[in-house]
Amino acid sequence: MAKSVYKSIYKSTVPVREDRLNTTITYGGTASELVNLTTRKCLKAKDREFSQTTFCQEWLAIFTLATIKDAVVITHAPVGCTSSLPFINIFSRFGQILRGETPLNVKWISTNLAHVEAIHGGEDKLKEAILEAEKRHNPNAIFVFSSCVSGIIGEDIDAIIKRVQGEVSAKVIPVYCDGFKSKVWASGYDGSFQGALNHLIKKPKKRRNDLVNVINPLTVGRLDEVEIERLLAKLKLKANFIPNFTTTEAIGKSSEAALTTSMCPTFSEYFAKSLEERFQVPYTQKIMPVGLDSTDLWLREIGKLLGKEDEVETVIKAERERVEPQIEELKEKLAGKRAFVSAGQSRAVGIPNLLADLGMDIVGVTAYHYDEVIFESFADLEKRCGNFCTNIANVQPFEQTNILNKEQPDFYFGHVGESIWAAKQGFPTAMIYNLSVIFAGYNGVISFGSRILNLLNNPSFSKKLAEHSKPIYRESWLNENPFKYHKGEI
Amino acid sequence: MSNIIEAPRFSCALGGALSTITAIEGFVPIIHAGPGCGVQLFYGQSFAGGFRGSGWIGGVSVPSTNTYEKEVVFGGEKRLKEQIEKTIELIEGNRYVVLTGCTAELIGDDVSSILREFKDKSVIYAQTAGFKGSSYIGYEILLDTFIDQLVEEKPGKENLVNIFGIVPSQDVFWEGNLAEIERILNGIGLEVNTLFNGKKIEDLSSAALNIVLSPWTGIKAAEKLKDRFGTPYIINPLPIGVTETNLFLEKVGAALKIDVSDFTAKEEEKTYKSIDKVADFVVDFDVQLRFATITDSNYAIALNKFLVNEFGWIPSLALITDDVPEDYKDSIKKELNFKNTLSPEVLFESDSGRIWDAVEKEAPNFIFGSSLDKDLAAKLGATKLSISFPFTDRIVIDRGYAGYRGAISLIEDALSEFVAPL
Repeated sequence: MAKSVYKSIYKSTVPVREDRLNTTITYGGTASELVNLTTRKCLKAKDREFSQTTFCQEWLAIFTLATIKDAVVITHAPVGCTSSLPFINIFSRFGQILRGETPLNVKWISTNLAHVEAIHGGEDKLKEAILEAEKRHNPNAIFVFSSCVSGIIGEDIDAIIKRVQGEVSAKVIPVYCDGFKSKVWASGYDGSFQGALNHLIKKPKKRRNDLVNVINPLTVGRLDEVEIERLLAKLKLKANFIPNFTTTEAIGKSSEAALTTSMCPTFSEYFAKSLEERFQVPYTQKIMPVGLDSTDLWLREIGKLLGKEDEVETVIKAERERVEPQIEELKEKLAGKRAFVSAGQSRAVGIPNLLADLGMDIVGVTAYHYDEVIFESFADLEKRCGNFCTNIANVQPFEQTNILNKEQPDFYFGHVGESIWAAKQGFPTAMIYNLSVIFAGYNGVISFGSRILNLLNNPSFSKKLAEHSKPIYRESWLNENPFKYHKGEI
Repeated sequence: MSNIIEAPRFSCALGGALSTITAIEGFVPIIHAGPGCGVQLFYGQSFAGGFRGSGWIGGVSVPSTNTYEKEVVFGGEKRLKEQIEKTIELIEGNRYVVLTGCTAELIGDDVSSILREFKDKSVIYAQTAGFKGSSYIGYEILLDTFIDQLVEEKPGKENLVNIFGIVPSQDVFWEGNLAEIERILNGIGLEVNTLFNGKKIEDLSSAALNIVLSPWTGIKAAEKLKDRFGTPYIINPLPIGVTETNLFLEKVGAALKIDVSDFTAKEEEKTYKSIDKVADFVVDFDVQLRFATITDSNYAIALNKFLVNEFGWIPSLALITDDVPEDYKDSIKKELNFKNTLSPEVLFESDSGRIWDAVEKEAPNFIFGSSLDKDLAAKLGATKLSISFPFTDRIVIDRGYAGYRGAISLIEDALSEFVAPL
């Protein structure tokens, strides 16, 4: 039943991940309990009586497509729904610089829905935005992102696009990502990829046996790509990195590839499966290639699908021999250090694996959500690292503050926005993505390990910051069960 | 009708209200809206303004109902009530302020009826749906809420003044600007309530004078306070430099019958001692540039007045980006009408595409704008200083451009950009 959604060609919308993958955003307990519940299919969807703000799927949908060079982003929404664009523009400009390009801004237009249009609809403004996008930027694609407001008032974006498509040469592509429609912001990736699949990707005229689609989110930096390219080159394969910093043409050609893989299975999940079902491009997206074992597995899966098993074993052997002495050096300093990791679900498995390679103890993991994308790899992590505190939370720093206070880790590894709260508690922090550090592959272990050494050698920023930070929560909160506000099925 | 906007230079009403609430000590925001509003507005209103951080309870820590499909279909009132109760249980605040977003307002949640259950006005609410307008409008809605729900008649204090018109984060230099304004008003013997300096919102009715530091934002609040408590007000857009700051203090002095001449004379002397230090550079390198401003109306007035009337630069275009309500456009144009044909051409435009076209035609040497204008400046070979929201190519902590000291910072920063390629 579940499989049919990947073939929902010509439909603009994709079922949200909580429906499609039984994704949960609320769990608190231990890793082994979670694995146990998962195995027995007893994990129930819960909610929170108290919640803090989080990401919506529109943000992630825009994050997926914003850096495509020959495209324009239109948000059919009130003006605030494009607010994240200056932030995404930082990633875009930084990414272009790291690729040796002269940075240019993301191109975005808000239909700026005002009160009257929020009630009666904003067809005229959407048409105008599309025509202006064409006139000003002459793009090959115009992505129209929906919003809470356009969704609630029932704006028929497909129909509006149909009426205006004849007047522009760019392909106008709807991306459905109404913020309220999914509790799992990763659903936004699917809305974006669905737009690309329906409108940009054509039946392949030929197969290219050396081309591998590597589907990476914008948080995967150029240095990671270089590591991936290096490993694939050893197998005589070429990476087609999509969708970031590429063109609609390169995305269109993804159907010609021999294989699809990714750095982030959570990001690529829907797209990789759809490419297979629609265009018979096989895929592997078992794990994020971060950490030695995960990278081995990642390569072996590619080798298996492309008949390069022997070559892969040769690469693994040589790479491990090369990096192991350096890893031993790092281990001497880092072994036994207690680490807490908070990340999107794929990185929430990848980063602990890398830290375990460095001999560190995993005392806790927060994953932004949890579903079948990581069932297997998370169970493997639990086997490898033993039992640890596990929180499934779509950010929710109040739970994190409580847990960190109890676990007292030596290091905190987290995402944008939430790491600051760990720093204010005095824990030395490093980001689980950083465009100037390698995470991927064999070099990633050394690169990120060296980053952690700096943290070990000088944790003074967090220490001093904590001495001067006023706690948000009442003191009593720290003595409570961190999962006190979880509530049963609704 | 509002227009479509390419690369907007403000966020929505909820954005302005949220950045304002989180700037007030002890005030706890509770967003009643979709899941992404708080995060989107943190990155899009605070962080996008010189990388302003979360503070005490901003960023991803803001309590939010995160309304999903269920609430949209069945109403979000139950969820809101639960969220308020638990917020109070977890977080100690002076006030809790519910900010409603687009979702809550479109589905018609009745927030006021829920709030009746909470005593002592500990919880108030403002209807700040994003579709109501820009960040500036959100700030105004919030002020209106404060005056309606928190402010009552109190004994007057003859040396107390309130400051309105500066929207936190939307004015990236708000904190530095207000610090300088407070310093100089203290200097003439006044106590100042900026809303953000630890003074109480409840005391707004005690002031002897309300000062609106903007050509339009905050005027409604001043009018309302005049209606309710008889407090007079003056409108004086942000002053930068000796001439404008002297005039500002004289205006305040006239309204409150204070002689400010000793203070202004001293500040004037100090400021020119500083300007003297860079005068050689300005003279030796002939730094008399033709500039354009891409800023809100407040900075357009402030920068053009200072740069033209005091620093001797040549204005070209003043692009005014803050979606100014029609009623105020004439008074803004008047403020920018200088003697000796030294007036900039004034255009009211929020759309970056149109802004870039207009500036490209003028090809100024120097652009006071946002980091959005980087590509344009590169194309024109112009120097650019990021001064208006949003920008992500400068870090701002407590820098300000207002008053006497602000002028020194402005000269330093502008000229530093000019010599940066060297």
